[in-house]
Amino acid sequence: MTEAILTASHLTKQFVTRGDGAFIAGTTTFTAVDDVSFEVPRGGTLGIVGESGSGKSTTARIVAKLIDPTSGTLEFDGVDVTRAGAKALAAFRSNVQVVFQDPFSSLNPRHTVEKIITAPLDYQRIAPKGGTRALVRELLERVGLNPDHAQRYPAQFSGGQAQRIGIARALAVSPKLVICDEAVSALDVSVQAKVITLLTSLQAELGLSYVFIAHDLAVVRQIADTVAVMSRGRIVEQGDRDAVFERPQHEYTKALLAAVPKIDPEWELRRARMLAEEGAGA
Amino acid sequence: MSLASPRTISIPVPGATLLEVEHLTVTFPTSAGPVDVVKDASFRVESGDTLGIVGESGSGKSMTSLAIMGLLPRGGTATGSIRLNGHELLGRSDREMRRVRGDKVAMVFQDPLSSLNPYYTVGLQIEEAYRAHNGGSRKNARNVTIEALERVRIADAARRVDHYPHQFSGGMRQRIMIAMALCLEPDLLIADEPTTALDVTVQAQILELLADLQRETGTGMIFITHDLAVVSQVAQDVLVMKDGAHVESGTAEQIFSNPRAPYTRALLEALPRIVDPFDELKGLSR
Repeated sequence: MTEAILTASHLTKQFVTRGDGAFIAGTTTFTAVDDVSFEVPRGGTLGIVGESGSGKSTTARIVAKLIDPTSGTLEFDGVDVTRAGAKALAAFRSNVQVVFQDPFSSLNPRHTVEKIITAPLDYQRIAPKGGTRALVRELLERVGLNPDHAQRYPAQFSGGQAQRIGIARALAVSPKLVICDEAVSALDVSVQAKVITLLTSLQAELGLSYVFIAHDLAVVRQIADTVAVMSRGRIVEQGDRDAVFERPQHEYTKALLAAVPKIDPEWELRRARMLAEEGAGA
Repeated sequence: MSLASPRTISIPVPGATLLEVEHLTVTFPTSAGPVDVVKDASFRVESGDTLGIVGESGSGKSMTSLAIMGLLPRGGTATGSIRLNGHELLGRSDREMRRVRGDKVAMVFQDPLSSLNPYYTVGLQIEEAYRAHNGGSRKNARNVTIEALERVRIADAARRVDHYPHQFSGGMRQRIMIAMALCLEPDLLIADEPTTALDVTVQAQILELLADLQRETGTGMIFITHDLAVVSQVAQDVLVMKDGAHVESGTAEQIFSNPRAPYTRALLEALPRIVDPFDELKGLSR
């Protein structure tokens, strides 16, 4: 196993809901994340899969330090950041960035692309060496957008392009770890494939590590090196991608894999042969 | 059989043409002139069969179904021909179309929570839909409702009928929507992304339920989805759409084993897979 860039140990998050004063008395405690431990391989991708209510998004928010865990520890790059103060948190934020699900609701519609992409830099008071303009151009080019479109607004882009802007913003502070929370779920399948290809090539170029959270098992299979399967706040199974997908041990993982709709393998095989023959003929 | 009669008992003949759409074009006026969101679409649905319409966002798949229902958003106009059991639907008055909807064609939408009124029990909502079309006593409507809930496999239906939408899970709510559609015994059911908002294990249950109900009732179905794998499981015939235009149509087997249009091939290529069937062949050819 390669060295871990992020280590989560026994993370637990409980939410306390107060009674409504009329029908429900007292308080109830809900454990959204229950004793969860995992490692993110440096330069690799940890995929977290689960259905709604599995606790995967709460886990993502803990790892991004948007919320604090009730107990457990989070270690980034060898440093315990669980109770990081303002200064340590600022350093953490320049190393860890998030790409969210809905590109349009996570981009300010009144800001230009340039302003959106440089917001993390302003927030952290970082002045890029070659100037902001040059950095924005470079980032747009890197994510496959036209660098001349820096002064445009989010509404002028398609969903896939908007998600590329979200990725460019995450890359602005040169992070080591990017958390993708259902980052391709809202996209059409052909667009989704392109964004996944982009994420993979950025990882190779920049040595990024990813936490890739998704409900779609097939998408996780494409991008993850290691996989954790969550159900009801717990990790029921985790390990090497191929091991989890090809030799699932836990009943829940098996049920989840069985439920994924698949195209008749015979049809697929016939198409593959047809394409291979056409390729040979061309 | 006539569309105007309030209730005709029709026993669907398997394989008989139920819906015939020819040269359907849907147009919306914009500041830059009229835009065709559906361009010259033609297809048919046989009784007891399922036609899958697949496409990405903006392909016109949902507008096609709204045109059939006579529910196009304001400003939209449909031309061409939509015939249900041989009767033309285009050009009918709102009043006539209200009869067609529910009695002849029912629809299930993507998001069951926003399709149900949170202030009324699910029973009341199904009863209301039933009585609006069939009249009869409340008692009868209630019995029909409980029966419909039982048909969609909701356990303890006699008690659950008095529960509110928020007391059901997403999958259960979608079952309620299906019960509401089916208690009117429509000839055609249009399901627009009915499982897209659901978890994959729940999706599998709903797909199975729809297939079972179709076997029991012989209803024709149009299943609209962006998900190729889902369509391959539910549909006998498939229509692929892009930018409002017909790309390719045929049996599911043809589309998935021998796609002719480059766009269909690209869509199939882009589909992420749990098991990659091309791995082996790729290995051989390289």
